Amino acid sequence: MLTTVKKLLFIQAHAPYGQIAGRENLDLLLAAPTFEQLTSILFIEDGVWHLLADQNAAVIGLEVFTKAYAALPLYDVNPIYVEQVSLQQRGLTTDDLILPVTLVNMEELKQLIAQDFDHCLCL
Amino acid sequence: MPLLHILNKSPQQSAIWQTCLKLAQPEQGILLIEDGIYLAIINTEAANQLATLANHCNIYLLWPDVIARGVSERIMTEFTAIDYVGFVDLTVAYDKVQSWL
Repeated sequence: MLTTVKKLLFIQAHAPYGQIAGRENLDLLLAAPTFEQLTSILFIEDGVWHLLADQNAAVIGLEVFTKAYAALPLYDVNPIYVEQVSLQQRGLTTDDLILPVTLVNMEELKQLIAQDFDHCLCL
Repeated sequence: MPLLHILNKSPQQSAIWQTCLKLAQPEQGILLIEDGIYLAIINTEAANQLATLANHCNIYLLWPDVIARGVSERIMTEFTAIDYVGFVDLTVAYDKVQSWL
């Protein structure tokens, strides 16, 4: 079976738990590599909140689905981009995140989104 | 007691918090729940404005939502943390509730 291989960028721009978008985006993201697509992810704006450690969503009756991000390298999802001003505005540094990431700025992102990827998905 | 405002969206998600703050009066309450707790992240514009308002209003945080998101170390401790039982108590104690969706 021939699979058309595309380069996909998933964009997490929403905070976790308050809306379902973050969870659904992650489920979609984890499906892509199983279809042999070249998959990357970008955390921007409120999306960076997904990557914090010490989440305990059981107290609001939810599962900490964001633990799955630590396994992204195993799924061949790379690079894992984080937009740097989004971190700064929220008082975060890369030390607060649950996995190593590639920091990008907005200028680099313009280039990435316009040219490097076949499709960008932001739920 | 008078009016309780409820905010449930992050500052990036919606600017409605600004409308709420403009309309808040002394003695009223402002309760942050769900993604609204991100309005109380320290050193942010929203948290600073809420801190100023805290001189005249009662600002509350639904603490389980803070814990769930892993931000308890970076949230304004000046505001009153409440749990779900406290949430119910507040809606009873205040005469009216205004949810800014």
